[in-house]
This record gives sequence, structure tokens and C-alpha cells, in this order.
Amino acid sequence: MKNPRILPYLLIVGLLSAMVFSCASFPQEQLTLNLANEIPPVTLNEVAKPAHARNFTYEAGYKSQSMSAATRGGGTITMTMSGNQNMPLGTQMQTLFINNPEWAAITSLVFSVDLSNVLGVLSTTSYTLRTDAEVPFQK
Amino acid sequence: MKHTSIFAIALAFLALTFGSCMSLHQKLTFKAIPSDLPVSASSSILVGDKVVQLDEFESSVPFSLQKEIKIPLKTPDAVVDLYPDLKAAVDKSGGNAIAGLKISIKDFSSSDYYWAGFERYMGAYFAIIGGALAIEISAMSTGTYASGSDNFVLPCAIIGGAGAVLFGASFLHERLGNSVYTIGLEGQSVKISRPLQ
Repeated sequence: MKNPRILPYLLIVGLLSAMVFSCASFPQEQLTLNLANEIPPVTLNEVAKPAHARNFTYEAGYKSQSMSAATRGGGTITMTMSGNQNMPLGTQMQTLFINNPEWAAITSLVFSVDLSNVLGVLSTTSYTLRTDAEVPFQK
Repeated sequence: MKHTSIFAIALAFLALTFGSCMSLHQKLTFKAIPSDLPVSASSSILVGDKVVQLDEFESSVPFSLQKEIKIPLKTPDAVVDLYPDLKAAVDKSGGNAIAGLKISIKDFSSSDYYWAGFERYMGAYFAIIGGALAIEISAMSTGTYASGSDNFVLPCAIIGGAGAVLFGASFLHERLGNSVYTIGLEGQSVKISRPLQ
């Protein structure tokens, strides 16, 4: 704390990370449940549990991690690592119909948001769409 | 005196660094749709235990709507009921079921979360820096090399105090704030003649 010149750098870091927060585009493609082109019915209604059923869980989402640091020469470096996790849900769920051509029921659909931020310098953002599907099978 | 002040500054810095950690963990659960409105995500519909195929629909009208949901930041789990919106869309077009429903999370935004975060770490920075300088200068002025530095104690203390107030205000902002979810629903409102269960 001997060097008060660090203050402008800290301000720059703060402002930049606020900009990074607000400008990040939303990963809409990953967070979509799109099965409109599938032929077997995928019901979203409450269904009576079939005698024999298999459960499948699918997850798709987006995660980003940013870290900002003030440099000695002046200015700020912000490193951001981001990426989509897994294929979109619709693509993943195609495998469901290869083995089970009859029908499927979506038993739960949950969207979760996890954000965290330490002094505006280190931040993580994560969005996940998770679904559980149930398919009947004959023994 | 010097060591005590450095120790106090280090302690305050640590406390504020941990205190400024902000996080949001929220879950949005979609409620299952009652069976009086058959809804399918694919191109055919399951009614009871019978399958109604695409070519058996009497009519099919596309619809698309957006739903905005506001949830307080302090609510970790929320339940979304799509039934009223879907029912309204179906009634409008004279159908009785939905096929090919596409559900997408179009946007998540929470200016309250970001502003509260901004207030918190800016408050923490000002409290740390202003407070540290005030302690440092007042410690210096009681030493042997005391000078006119006393004049700076008050401004530094004010900056530090303002930072601490901003830091505290961010907690209130977080408590009162909301996050907004935009959910997109797209599908076909269809009419099926088979009796509904």
C-alpha cells in the first residue's frame, strides 16, 4: 500500500471486467430443447410410470472463466476461457430413438445458472440445461 | 505501531477480499404439463398410450411466444409453469394439443447482480485503499518524522468510509434485486380428433 499509483489500474480492471460481464453473448443454441424433427412422440406431460423404464440424463451448457490482471507497464490483461459443453440436447437425444423407437417422456427439465466473482478480477459464468428422459421397454 | 498497522491492513484486505466474493446459483425447474393438454416435443403426440401421427392432425397452426420470468436473487430454486401460456396459445388457434414444442432459454440477465457485484468490489477497493492510507498516515504522523501529513488523514478516512458504505449497500442491492429469464416457446398448435384422456 506504499504505492498509490496502483489505484488507476485497479479502477481499469474493475471497469473492464464489468464490460466483459455485460457484453458476453448468450449461448442460446446450447440451451434449447429442440426435437421437432424427431418422429417418435416425446411427451412433456405427466405420464404414468411404465412397468419397465429406462432413464437417461442429458446435459448441455456453457461455461466461461475470466481473469483480469493489471500489468506493471500499464493496462490490463483479461484472459477469458469459454466454451460450450457437450452437443445440443436435441442432437444428444437422437441416440434415445436408435434403441427405443416407441416413445419417450421428458420427466424433468432444469435450467441452472452459476455465477461467481471475486473482487471483479476473477469471474466464472456457467449455464446448464439438463433433462431427464424416460423410455419404456419390453422385457 | 508500524507492525500493528501493517497487520491490520493485511487483515482488512483479506477480510474484504473474501467478503467481496459474490455468487449466484439459481435453478429453474419446468413443471410437468397436466395431461388435459397433450404436449409433445417431437412431431407426433402420445395421448394416453396411443400415438397420434403427423398425418392424423386435423389442423396445425404454428405459434411462437416469449415468456419473461423475474426471480429474486435470493431465491435458489424456482418453478416455471408453462401450462397457462401454452393453453392460451392453443385456445387462440382452436387446437387441443401441441406438437414439436421447442423450449429455449433465450436470455438470462441480471443487472442487479452485476451492479451489486460492481458496488461490492469497488467498495472493497476504496475501503481497503482509503482505510489503509488513513491508518498508514496517522501512524506516520505519530512517529518521529511527523509533518503536515495529518491533513491527509481525514480525506483518506472519508474515501475508506465511503467504500465501506458502498460495500454494505451492495448486500442490500443483492437482497432486493432480481434476475430475469427469457424463455422462448415455439411449436404447432394442432387439433386431434381422438378422445383425450
